[in-house]
Amino acid sequence: MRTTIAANALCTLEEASATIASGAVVVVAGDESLLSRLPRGNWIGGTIPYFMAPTGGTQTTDRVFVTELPLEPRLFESRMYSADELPAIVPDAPAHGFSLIIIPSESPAHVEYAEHAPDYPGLFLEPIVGWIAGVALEDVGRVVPRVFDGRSGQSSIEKAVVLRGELPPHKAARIGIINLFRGGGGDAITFERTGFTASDCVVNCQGRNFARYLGEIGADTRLPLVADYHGAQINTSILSADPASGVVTFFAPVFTGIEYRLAGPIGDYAASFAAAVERAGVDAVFACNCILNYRYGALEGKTTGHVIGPITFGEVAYQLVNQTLVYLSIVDA
Amino acid sequence: MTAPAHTEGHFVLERAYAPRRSASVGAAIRQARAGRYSLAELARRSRTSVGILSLIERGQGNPSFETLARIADALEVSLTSLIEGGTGAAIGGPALRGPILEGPWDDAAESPAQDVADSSTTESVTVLRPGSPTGWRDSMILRPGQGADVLVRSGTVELTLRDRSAEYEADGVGQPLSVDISVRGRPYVSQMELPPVGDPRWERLVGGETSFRPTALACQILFTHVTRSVRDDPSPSNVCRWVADLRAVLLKYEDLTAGELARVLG
Repeated sequence: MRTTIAANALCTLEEASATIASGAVVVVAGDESLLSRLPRGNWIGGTIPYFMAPTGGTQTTDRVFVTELPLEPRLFESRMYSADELPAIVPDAPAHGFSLIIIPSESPAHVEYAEHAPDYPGLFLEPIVGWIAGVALEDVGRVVPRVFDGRSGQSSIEKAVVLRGELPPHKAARIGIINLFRGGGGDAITFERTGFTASDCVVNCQGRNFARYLGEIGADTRLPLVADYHGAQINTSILSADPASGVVTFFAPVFTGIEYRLAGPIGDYAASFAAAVERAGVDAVFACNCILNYRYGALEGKTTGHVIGPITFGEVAYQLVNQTLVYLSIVDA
Repeated sequence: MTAPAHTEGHFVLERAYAPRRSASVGAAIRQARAGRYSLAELARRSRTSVGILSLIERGQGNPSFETLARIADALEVSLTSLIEGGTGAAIGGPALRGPILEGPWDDAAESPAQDVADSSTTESVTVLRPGSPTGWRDSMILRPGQGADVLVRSGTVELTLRDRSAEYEADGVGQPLSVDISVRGRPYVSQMELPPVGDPRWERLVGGETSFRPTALACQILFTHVTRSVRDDPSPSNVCRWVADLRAVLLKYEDLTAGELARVLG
């Protein structure tokens, strides 16, 4: 069931400001210099310069991506959460609606949510979707991602911002993912510790150093680890693998007790996404895709079907996922 | 009463909490922990630091509602029992969504209104817990100098002044304050009958003995974390905690999971 979206597009600062001034509930993605100049209102936002626009993937700091959500302003709330406060997103969630979270990359809130959110009692009871704020890849390490709460006028490089929206009884929120990757027929890999880094792992029941294992098999580390979550294919992407130190760093944590396999390669990312979006009948009120798909799939200037939105440093579909298109739909209850 | 936010002529209290006696909260935690968990173990189970937990137990901390709720869950006692110093009933498993009233009263005669009206203390505690009918309403009469804390663990509670918001200010000048409480949210009626949390079929399911591939994304991800957690820690309390979570999510997505569950649970 499609809900009318007044705005879901790249906008100038003036256009975004006008949308906010109209009272609409919106999510804004863009450069910090623009987000910091938006007026107070019913919006949350985060920094990112990459977008999937109707004309294709693009990088810009001149415009912001505005997604208007089908929410009544009186049924919208927003709040910043420090890492310590994040478990409260569960009791704070609307009784019938959804939450949308934006977290600065590499912030304490990012680490906390990635590693512990799946264990928050009740996390999966109400849909929670979102993304990890980032910066231009060439600025990583020099510029810090930031999130904004337009209602309070606050911004943060450490806290997560969460938008909570109530839906009318006849509507329901659903979260979906489009993951092109599948675990190849290769080795089964498990880890003994949950975290963003791993040294030791078990490959086919045999203890190994994971970095050296990847080197030995000549793994393409642009391809993620994929785990089968009882039918859902969930990725964990590899940031770096250093055989010398034996340490592999990930964009999201690997979890103990979950079996991973290295993904098989994707030929044409853009065409594959477009086909998958069509197959799934995606009708999204909000969507985001991963910077790694943009980068490794050379998506600049290419479209991925009709789904548009920010290109992010990680996606949230209940838990943090990588190299995945995540979307929120509003359906008839 | 903790000052609520003012929106469109009524008050919406999201979360407000002030323990009656922080020292008694600490004592209740210490008592519930005694002989069961070390300070470090309870800190781990409740995702709290040892330092903070130690402060709370000594009555020197100012714990948030969320922290106390996590501690209560880890101890498998009710939040009320910690706040009221051990008078509450035990809660099995974690909080489920959908508020209910859990209070120190036994029947309607001991409703929050009565509780507050008759209280000789300056504070009262009303705890809304999962399970009671959505749409629950009640009223409180607050006399000058009296207060009430409403702890909302999930959902939203509206505190509405019966007449005008100006009456709220009248509290300070000696007039009784009438407050209506209502629990927002749509009524939830399940068409699916699921076994209770203690049913052994759940244990077999979360223990990985029964194959289950749900359709809903929330169920897929949750079920994966359930099975990995239970493999790591098959203790009854951990199984109970996850079964309660899983059961609630499956009910939430019953339009997608009913057929799948019928095959699995029979």
